[in-house]
This record gives sequence, C-alpha cells and structure tokens, in this order.
Amino acid sequence: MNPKKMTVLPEIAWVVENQGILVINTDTSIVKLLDYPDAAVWSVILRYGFRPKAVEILSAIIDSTAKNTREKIENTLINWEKEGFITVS
Amino acid sequence: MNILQNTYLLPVNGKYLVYSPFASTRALVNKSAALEIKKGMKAGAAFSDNQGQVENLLIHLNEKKVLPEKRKGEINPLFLGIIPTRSCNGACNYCDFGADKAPDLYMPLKRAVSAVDWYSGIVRKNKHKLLEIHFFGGEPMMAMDVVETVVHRARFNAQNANLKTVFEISTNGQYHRDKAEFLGSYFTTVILSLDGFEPVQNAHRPLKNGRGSFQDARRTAEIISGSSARLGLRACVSDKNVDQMGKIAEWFCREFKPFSINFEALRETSETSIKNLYPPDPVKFAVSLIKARRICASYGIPLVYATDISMNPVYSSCPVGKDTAIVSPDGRISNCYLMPEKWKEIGMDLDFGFIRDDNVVVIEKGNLKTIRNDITKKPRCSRCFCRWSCAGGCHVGNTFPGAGNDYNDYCRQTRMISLSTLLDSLGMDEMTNEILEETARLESFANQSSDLLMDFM
Ligand code: SF4
Ligand code: SF4
Repeated sequence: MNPKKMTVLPEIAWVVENQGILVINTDTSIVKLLDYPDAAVWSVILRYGFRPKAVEILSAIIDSTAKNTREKIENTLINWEKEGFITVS
Repeated sequence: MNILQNTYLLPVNGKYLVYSPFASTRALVNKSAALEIKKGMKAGAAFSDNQGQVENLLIHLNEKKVLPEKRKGEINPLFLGIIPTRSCNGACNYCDFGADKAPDLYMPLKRAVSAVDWYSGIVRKNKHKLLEIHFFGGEPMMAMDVVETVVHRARFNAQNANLKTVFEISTNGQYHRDKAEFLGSYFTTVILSLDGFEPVQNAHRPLKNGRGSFQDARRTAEIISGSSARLGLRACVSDKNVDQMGKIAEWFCREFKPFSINFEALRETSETSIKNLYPPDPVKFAVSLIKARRICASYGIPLVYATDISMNPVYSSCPVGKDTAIVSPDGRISNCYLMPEKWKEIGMDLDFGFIRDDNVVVIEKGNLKTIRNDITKKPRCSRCFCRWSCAGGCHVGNTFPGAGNDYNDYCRQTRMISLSTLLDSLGMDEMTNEILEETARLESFANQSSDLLMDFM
C-alpha cells in the first residue's frame, strides 16, 4: 500500500468527543466511536496526509517505531475503508 | 497564622470595610465599631464588652475558615505547561517573552511525550481526576506538531487511566482557519490576545512580516467563539487604549460572547519606551476597568483582573509556588514561563528540573523547596490588604528580592480594583460609584501604607 490521500466520504460526519472521535454515517445513522490510538490516526492523517511528518507525530503519540507506525496506519485505514468511512487513493 | 495580623480595615467614604481573608469575612462598619472590633480581636475570647452586630462579627472574625495552601513534600503540579517553541510570528511592541531574541528551537516530539507521561503518572499517583495542560510561547501554534502530539498523547493516557483532559492555550490567533478549528475542537479554553479595535491592535501587535495582526486575530476569535472551546480575550492596556476600555469591553461582549475578558496594564521596559508605548495612568486604568467590568456584567460575562481579590487566600496569584511544571523546548522544567534570563537578572532561579536527552525527567527537589519558600517572603505586601490575593503579583517583575518596599503603580491599581471588588461583593454599588467620582480619595487610599486593623487608631 502506498497511499496518497485519505478522503472522508460525503455522507460521513465526525466530531471530537472527550473519549475520542465520533464518526457518524448520516445516511444510515450508524455511529462509531474511534478511541485512541485510532482517533489520533484520524486527526493526524486528515491534516498531514501521508507525509513523513504524519508518521513522526503518530509514532511519538503511540510510542512506536516508524515502521510499526506505518503498519498501524495502513491497517487502520483498510478497516475504515471497509466500514465505509473513507476512501484511500 | 494569626487572624488579627491578617485582618484589614479599609476606609471608604467615612465608613470602614473590615476584611479578613482567612475568616472569609467582609463587612462595612463605622469608626467606633471598628475600634471595638480591634479591641475585641486583641482580647480574643476574654472580650465580652460588646453587643449585637459587633459581637457577631467578632465571632466570625475569630474563626479561621480558609488558610492559604503551601505545597509540601513530593511535587504536585497545579498543571503541566508546555512551551512548544519560543519563536513567534508576531513582533509585539511590548513582548516580555523574549520572542525576538529566542533561539529558533522547537520541542522534540519525544520530549513532549515524556513530559506528558511524567505528568500523567503524577496525576494517577495523586488520584487526581484531571490532566490539565496549558500551552505558552512564543506562539505555541508555530509548533503545531508539538501541540497535536501533546494533545493526542494526553487524551490517549486519559483514556487508559479513566481521566479527563483540560487544555488551555495562550495564543495570538495568527494562523489559518484550520488551525483555529483544531483549537476549537480539542481545547477547553483559548486565551486570545486582542488589544482592541484595529488601529490599536495593529500598533501594539504588528507582525514580523510588517502586516497588522487585527484581521487574523478577529477571525480566530470568531472561530473559537462559534466552537465548543471557551474563548478568553486578553487585552494589554497602554496609554493608547486606556480611554477605550469600556468600548472595547462592550465590543468583545457583543461580537464574540467570550467566556471571560482580561485587561492587563502594559509593563514599561526599555523596549516599550523606544517604541513610544507607555503604561496607562494607574488611576485611569483602575477606574476604566471597574466601569468596563460593569458593562461586561450586564452581558453576564466576567471581566477578570489577574491579581484581583480571590475566593481563597493564596501565597501566589500566578503559577509560581504551585509546583506548576512548565517545560521549555530545551527540556528545562520551571515554575514560570518567562525566559530564564529574565529571572536570572534579578537573582532568582525558577528552574526545578529538566528532561534528559534520554527523555528521563529529573526533579531537583532542593530548588523546588526554595521556590516554595521564597514566594512567601514579600516584605512590601505585609501590610497590604491584597497580601492574600495579589500576593505580590508577578514574582519576577514586581516583588522580586530587593524590589523595594514602596507601592508602585501596579500596586496602586491593584489596590483600587480590589477595593471595588470587595464593595461589589457586598452589593455596595452606590459606594463604588462615589469612589469612582472622587478619584483623589481613591488615589490616597491606594497610597495608604498600612491596611492592618491592628495599625488602626
Ligand atoms: S503591596 Fe503591591 S504587590 Fe504586594 S499585595 Fe499589595 S498590591 Fe500586591
Ligand atoms: S512570575 Fe511573573 S511572569 Fe512568571 S508566571 Fe508569575 S506572573 Fe507570570
């Protein structure tokens, strides 16, 4: 996987909550709370895309190597794509 | 702590306001009652020569209800402070934070995480419920990656330990909309510097690129105002905007509906005089602040003066002396957010630890103890009724060792504002109106050398 851009689907809204990030599918009313560390992946990748800075920030937050962090990001994005929250191009 | 030695008598228009911060008591009496109270307090329980209201007041005054808290033992920070960088995109004409001379240093992300983890450990150990983190600068948002890392790591730790997070930032608002939106989503409180209308904001706070700072500050204020974060507006008052304080307060309330408004008088430095900026006249400042406070109150918004009368007596009105751990980009841990040169110049050392290169936190307990003790020594304040609220104000800029025992303009304005706060708390608005009309009397009160009841004759 060599992703360039994560795009949140138009029917998806999200809001920052105390416990993480609440993702809402406005078509189906399905709601999912992303807790940590996934909430950090959502926020950081949306801001920085897949630039090295994103990996640096996330590896500091989850206290992991750059390699493991990249893996974590990839797996998380695959799940979100399957759940219909985002597309990755 | 002796209550009599910390009970004050303040003359107001022919009457006397008895004020005891330790007994949480405030009352307005006449001269003979004031003398009776003095006699009664000196005699303690043996005194029974008084009746009715004075007796009731004496019962209250002899009861210690709240004493100021002094930190002891292991470090127990009021909050964790993070200075992501000392750099700033602003070039404020009164900046006291050394942003222009600061090295272009940004806190490494791993260091920021170590600070958060260390602090989270203390919060858990002390069984507190809140992770409270404040950001200072320079301009913290110049190092957005540090801010994000700290916020997410703290939220991650909070999730694991079932804690709540509180984030506060002091910022100039000079960045794109998306950064302001991040603050609006993740922060509890955003304290934005806005000195008033466009001409004064741009004259006080130009940017390094030569542009004015008004438009971006205003946009950030609007974004935060419409977000879930609380907006605090902080205005520095000089001789240029002191006459506009009421109008500024009204505009802030109407346009931004902030959570709080804070006016602070400009502090004169050699740089401010070069820039032709001067502090406001203290009487003018105090009177304008008291009037502006009433305007804000009509909107239900508190106007805060940092060293005003507090609910509980304190040894310090700022982070110093409360174990506050403020981490600099270079890893030093200090009690104050100023550049160390500022306090070294006056023979103080407010550092009490550091984060090593291997990210281990080291606390120098001896230094912490010295700071805790030193802030209690305030010879200038020993007879001032603001001793347990202002408590010396800025320990570096105002009551540093050797600063002298005479009141300065800062003291005078604090004393005038605090008196009006006490009168307001008693519902004596009319009396406040009278003192606002007679500024000569107000000024003479501000210069009164002792407010102690025991010095009253
Ligand atoms: S003497 Fe000045 S610094 Fe000290 S408490 Fe009074 S107003 Fe504050
Ligand atoms: S000592 Fe002065 S500059 Fe330092 S935290 Fe206290 S008020 Fe602020």
